[in-house]
Parts: sequence; structure tokens; C-alpha cells
Amino acid sequence: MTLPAVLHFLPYGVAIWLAVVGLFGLTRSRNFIHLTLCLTILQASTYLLLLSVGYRTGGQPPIARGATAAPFVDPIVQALTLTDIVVGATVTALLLSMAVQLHNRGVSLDPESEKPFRK
Amino acid sequence: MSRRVRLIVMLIFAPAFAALLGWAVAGLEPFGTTVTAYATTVESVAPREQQISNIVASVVYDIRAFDSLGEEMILFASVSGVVLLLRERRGKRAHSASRSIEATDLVRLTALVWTVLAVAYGVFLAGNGHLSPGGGFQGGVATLAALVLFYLAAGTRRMQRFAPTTAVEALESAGALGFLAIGCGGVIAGSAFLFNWLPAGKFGSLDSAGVVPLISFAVGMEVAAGFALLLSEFAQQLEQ
Repeated sequence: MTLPAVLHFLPYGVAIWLAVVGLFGLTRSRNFIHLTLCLTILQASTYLLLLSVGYRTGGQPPIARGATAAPFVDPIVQALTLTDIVVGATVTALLLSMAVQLHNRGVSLDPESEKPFRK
Repeated sequence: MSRRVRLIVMLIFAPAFAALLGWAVAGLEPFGTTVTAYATTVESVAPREQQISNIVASVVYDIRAFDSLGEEMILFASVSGVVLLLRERRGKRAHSASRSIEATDLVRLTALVWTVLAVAYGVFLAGNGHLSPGGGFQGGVATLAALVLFYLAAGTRRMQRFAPTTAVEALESAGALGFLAIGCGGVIAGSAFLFNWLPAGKFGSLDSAGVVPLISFAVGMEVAAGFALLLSEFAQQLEQ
């Protein structure tokens, strides 16, 4: 199976795009909830990068029982990704609860209304 | 730094950053051909020595269980942080039941049927992770889906009765402590912390893979209970 050269780069290209867009959103954000979502996008780029590195053409899932002779896709990167998706969700919840707390205290959700950005 | 300056800096450095990443990626092997020595080793060792079928679970709950313990502690700390931050204000304002949403009968019936199925599926995923795709992290999240459905159907107050906060907190701690206790079992058995000290069993049977199903179950318990706490804290914010 041969893929065109563009398709070889595509998964990595999307991962780079997500990383840059996430970073861009972080610097331009005017709302803490938006900021948190930008952070999750940045995080998603690492998942895509890891899984792309671990993919093997014609590979099968790394389950030994009933496996055929085909190679396994890389189990290490899958293990890294799966724990981080779950743990990342709780960290996102922590950041969002900070936003809730700011709102409850009547503070603006705009990061630029506070130090170090406020003049 | 003003917004304008920041935009200019970003417009210069974001493409530069992308180009650097692209350069790094160009040095990788072509897509679909990367074979690392670590992966090859794990793929041969896990089924043979641990009698474990799901190699991903072998990495998460056995070979790199120490890393998973660290991840678990991040999860535990984040959930504690959320609870600390959001619970602080509770009780300062009187609860008003008027703002809670009442579900229609159709939503209630459908949600309750699916709650049962989701709990069963979550427990299956957490307990069967060493044989087929799944494991504690996935199983915990699937079990949480059941709680979300229950919340949709019954509202906050009845969810408090169905899953009281103290019980959920106890379950979460039991999950974390269980992981640590199983890890200490390795030390007691005369080897390293988190050593797979139980007999490996017969390949493909439910009691194979030693401590992997136990750790997986403990993780599932902690993930489900942790997310349930998050859900109830955020839900109570809505009702204030």
C-alpha cells in the first residue's frame, strides 16, 4: 500500500495546525472559558501526534488474543493517550471551576481585565 | 504588552513555531512505518510473561503502572481542587428548587433504561480490560455516562439520594488507596512496588494477567467516582 506523499504528512500537519491554532487562541482569548477550550485543542494536537507516530500501515489493534500475523499498531502511544484524555478532562474541569468561581465573585472573565495584562 | 503587540509577535512566531514542528516531523520515518524497540519488546513480553491479551492495558496497569499512579494522583488532585473551589460558596445562598429542570416522562424512562445498561457496560469494560479493548479509565467514564443519564432523568436532589456525596467520596478514595495497596503488595511479596505479584493465570481467562484486572478495577472506581463528584458539584452550581 503506497500513499501519496501528501497523505504521509497530513496527520502530522493536522497536529501542527491544532497546536498553532490552540496557541494562537490562548494569546488572543478574551474569556477564561474560551481560554480553557483553546488549551484542550492544544492538548488534542499531542494526542493526534502520538497516535500518528504509532500507526502502522496494515496494522491491527494491539490485542494478542485472536491476533493475525499483521503487525500491531504501537501500544505505548495508545496507553499514553488514553490516560491523558481522562486525566486531561478533570484538569479542564478544574480550570472551568476557577472560571465559575471568578464569575460568582463578580470578577470579569476577561483575562485582560486583571494583572499582568491590565495597565 | 498590548493586544496589538501581542498579535504582531504571534504572527511572527506562530509560523516559525509551525515551521520548526514541520521540520521535526519531516525527520520522522514515513507515516505508518515507525517501529520502536520499546513497542516490539512490550508486544512480545506482555502476552508471554503476563498472560495478558490487551497490550495497551499491560502498559498502563503493569509495565508502566507507576506512571498511571501518577496520572491517578493528578486526577485525584484536580477533583479535590474542583470540590474545594466550588463547595466553598455552598450554603451562603438558599437553594431554590424552582430552577431545577423537570424532565418529561419519555426522557426519564429512556434515561433510566440506559442508566442500567451503561453501568453494566462500564463495569464490564473495567473488569475485562486485560482481555479486550477497555480498562479502568474507559470503564470509569462509561459508568459516569450512567450517572449523567440519571441526573438528566431525576435532577440533583434525587441524585443526591441515589449517590450521596460522602459515599462517592469514599469510593473515590477507596479506588486511589486500592491502587496503592495493590502496589504495596508487590513489596510484601518481596519485589518492587507495583510488581505483578499475583499468578499470571491462563491466557485469555478472566483471572489471568495477575494484578492488572484488580488495578484496572480500582482505577475505574476512582475515575467514575471522581467524575461523579465533578458532575454533582457543577450541577449544584446550576441550582444556586
